Amino acid sequence: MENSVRFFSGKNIKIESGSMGVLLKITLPDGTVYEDVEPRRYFPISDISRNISIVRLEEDDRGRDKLHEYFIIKDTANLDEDSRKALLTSLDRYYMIPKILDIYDQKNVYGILQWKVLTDRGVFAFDIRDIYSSIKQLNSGKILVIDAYDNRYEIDDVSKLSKRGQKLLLGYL
Amino acid sequence: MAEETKKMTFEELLATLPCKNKEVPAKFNDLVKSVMSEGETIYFYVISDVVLGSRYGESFVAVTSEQLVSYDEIREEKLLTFKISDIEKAEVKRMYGNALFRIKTGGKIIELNKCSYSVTENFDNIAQYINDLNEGKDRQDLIEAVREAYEKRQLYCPKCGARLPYKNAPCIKCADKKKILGRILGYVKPHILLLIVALIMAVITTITNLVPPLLTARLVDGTLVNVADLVEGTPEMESRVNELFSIVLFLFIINTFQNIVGAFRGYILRTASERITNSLKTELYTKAQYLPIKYYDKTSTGSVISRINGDTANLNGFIMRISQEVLTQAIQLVGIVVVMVSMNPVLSLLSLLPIPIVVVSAKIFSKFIHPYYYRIWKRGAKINSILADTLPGIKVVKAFTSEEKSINNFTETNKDLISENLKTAKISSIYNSATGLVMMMGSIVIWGLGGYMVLTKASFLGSEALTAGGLVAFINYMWMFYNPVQFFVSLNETFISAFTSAERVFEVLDAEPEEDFGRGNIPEGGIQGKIEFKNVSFSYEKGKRILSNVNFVIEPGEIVGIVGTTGSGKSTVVNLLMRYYDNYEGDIFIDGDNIKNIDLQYYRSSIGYVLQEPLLFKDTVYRNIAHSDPTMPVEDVIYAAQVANAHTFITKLPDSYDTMLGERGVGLSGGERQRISIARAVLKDPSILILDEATSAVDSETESIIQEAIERIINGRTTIMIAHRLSTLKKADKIIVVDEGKIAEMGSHNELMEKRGKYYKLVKIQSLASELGDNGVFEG
Ligand SMILES: Nc1ncnc2c1ncn2[C@@H]1O[C@H](COP(=O)(O)OP(=O)(O)O)[C@@H](O)[C@H]1O
Ligand SMILES: [Mg+2]
Repeated sequence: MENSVRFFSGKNIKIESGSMGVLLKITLPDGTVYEDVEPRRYFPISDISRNISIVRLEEDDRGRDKLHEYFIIKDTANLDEDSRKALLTSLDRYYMIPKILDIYDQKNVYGILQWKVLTDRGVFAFDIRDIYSSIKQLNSGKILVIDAYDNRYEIDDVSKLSKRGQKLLLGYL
Repeated sequence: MAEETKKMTFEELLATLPCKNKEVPAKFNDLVKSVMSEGETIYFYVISDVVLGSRYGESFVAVTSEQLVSYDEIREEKLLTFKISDIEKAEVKRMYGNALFRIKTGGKIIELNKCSYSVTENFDNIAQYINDLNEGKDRQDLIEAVREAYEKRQLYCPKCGARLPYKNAPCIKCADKKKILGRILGYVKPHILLLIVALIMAVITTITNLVPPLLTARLVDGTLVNVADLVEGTPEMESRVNELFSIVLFLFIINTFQNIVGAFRGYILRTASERITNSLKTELYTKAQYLPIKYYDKTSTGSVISRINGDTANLNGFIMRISQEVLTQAIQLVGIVVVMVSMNPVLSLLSLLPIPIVVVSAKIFSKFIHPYYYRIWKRGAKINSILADTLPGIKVVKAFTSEEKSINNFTETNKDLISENLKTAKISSIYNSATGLVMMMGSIVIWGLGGYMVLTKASFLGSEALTAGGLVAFINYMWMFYNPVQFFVSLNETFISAFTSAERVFEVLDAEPEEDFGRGNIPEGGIQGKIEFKNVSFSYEKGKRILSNVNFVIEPGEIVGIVGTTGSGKSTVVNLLMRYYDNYEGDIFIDGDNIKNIDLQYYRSSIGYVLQEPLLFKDTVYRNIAHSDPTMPVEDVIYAAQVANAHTFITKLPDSYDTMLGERGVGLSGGERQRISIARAVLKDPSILILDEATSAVDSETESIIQEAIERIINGRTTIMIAHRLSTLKKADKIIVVDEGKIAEMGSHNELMEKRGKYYKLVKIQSLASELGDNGVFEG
């Protein structure tokens, strides 16, 4: 059996930003301190604020990345304000899944969709190759979009797009 | 090509620089120039898309002959420069949906730029360049390597600069539509005669179509007019009756003629169309057979299947429409207009009034309805995948009693499909009624106006006064007129959908097939079976090394075991030896020849390969064994079955060697299937035999039967055995221990046991397990 990893609810855990913004310093309720660790999501698409695994990246003797996993924080909602902020900042630096707020323009050229969108991170244009498998409605109702380079985007709520954006999307769901 | 670039002098190479992944805005160029000193040149640009705060924005990196220039619009110090020789290490950290380019200099790590996955690989290239240059490697070689890597993944069209959807995609802007059309029509060529005959028939039918309304007009205006004045027996009466019968007879002949011609034409068209579809399908399927395994790692087989089935049919439909209907519809359109105008120009003008409405609404409608069709198609595809998943997996479904869940899932999806279908039906039927109404209104107006003209015998512009028969004929023509109009309105849609299919079909046809550099190059005296791996490194996907620097030699006739934990890369070694993947570094030699230089078919046919999961086909047992050549002598096939310990159980099957297996060999036990696949390998009489965990999935009794068969067949052949249970390797001359893609140890069993390394540990673990009741004993 593989080593089992401990779960912590998140209560009484203190998280501070470490070097370079991504790395964190975490103090557990029993006082143990972990430095230079990074957070990873178990469910980077379906549940981004829960089940955060805390890992350390180490290089092995061949220069390959090895992931050492320490423990899991069940729910970021249980953290205190400052700790949560530090954790979210770090997650936000590692994970980039822009939220599409509106679709400005769309062209379908022989099966390749060209989109120009407004996201929470600015305006961006990209192409979608395999329309059928690249625009997916998840069980939660969220929509996941994958572009030609494997970048991911999501649409939280179709009804929040503009009328035109909704209409453009209609044909691909 | 690569040869030519090597011969380039450094000056010539410099002239091709700077390399860039996108057009470089003049502003960026000026920024870099501002920090450059005399004699310095720019080698590479990476135009990024994400800024350090993980937002989209302006950011780039330039590498010059002396320094690294980094720009980020939200960084406090927007422009940063570093002497390349001061950089201790440059690296790209891949994150999720983005990556970070950073350098180590003066003992400190500096995060320079962020990017989305779209440009990550360009950053990889320059990081590699900087590190290699500082290690003292040849500058020109390094620049060329970067340049080649850049070119391979050109993000913009070299002709027009337009953005490309993926690496080396055909440029949509530049794509010559005429070329695509020409290529589609190329499939017509072999059947051109049939199509021309059909076309001539269609033209004749179309022209004869114009006649009946004229005849009915004659009937109404001449034959059947002023009937009250007619007296029976008079010559006038007689000629009227004659005329009636002539017209009726003529109508009869025209209709019969049209139907006969129609029947012939239908058959001819069907013939041409079946042939065209067939040749398209065959070409696609043939191509699919020769595509490298790499292609299937990325593309789902489902999408290849849908191209073979759906898209070829769509293309065929398009070919038929273009080759037949464009001309006939045009003839009909022109013919009707000519006849109508010559009958009554004013009415003609009036009857054209609804046309713009019909055209515009058809355009709007097709745009509007299009998404709904896609939704229907998508739901249909989803239902297909539910079927494809659950029916073959019925045992699992039953074992976990999830029948109800399956049914619910299916009904839900079906409900969804029905609701989309109904929505579409609603829209279509509203549209159809509305256009019907508009057209009907038009004809009512014509009835009114035309009727009035008939009554008042009004005539315009010198044309003859309209008669009652003329009016009837006119209205007939008017209805006939809408057909070609609607055809031409939807022609654009037809083109778009056909071109989409064409792109999908041509993408497969144009995909690079497996390279067969050594075609026709068959080693004299056959393959002896000496295998040599020399500095072989390989990764399936970029960034994740699976094999690194693998070296070993296997002498002809040697039996070699490869051991290692799951995922250590054992099967990957075999994949490379089988030439399933060509894009490895280093070389693999057979009898001293690079395997890439040997005829591919010959090479593979001299290797017998038995996989862990025996792949059988839906065919008879006999043909499954004689898969490579069903015309083999029966004696050989049966002998092979005997060698594989398969003969006895086969003869006990209900239809013996004729027993039909289900898909993937359903109907046999795992061990039986494995023995058939061994018989298949034996029958090839290969010089090299590869057994990849051939007995891992069977019980120990079957294993010993198979093991006995294996020992019989490995005599005199170079044999590579990958085995989980080390006890199966007792006959091995040499054992190679693979660990995380590297060769950890190599040697005979005794040598490795003495060494007390990885192998020793593996053996100890297994013999411990065997003491606990498993049968993993190693007797050596
Ligand atoms: N087609 C593939 N695409 C990407 N990765 C693969 C592919 N096949 C195998 N791998 C990866 O390569 C590694 C070695 O696999 P393999 O050679 O099959 O191991 P084994 O030693 O068990 O035979 C594994 O980590 C596996 O995930
Ligand atoms: Mg394997």
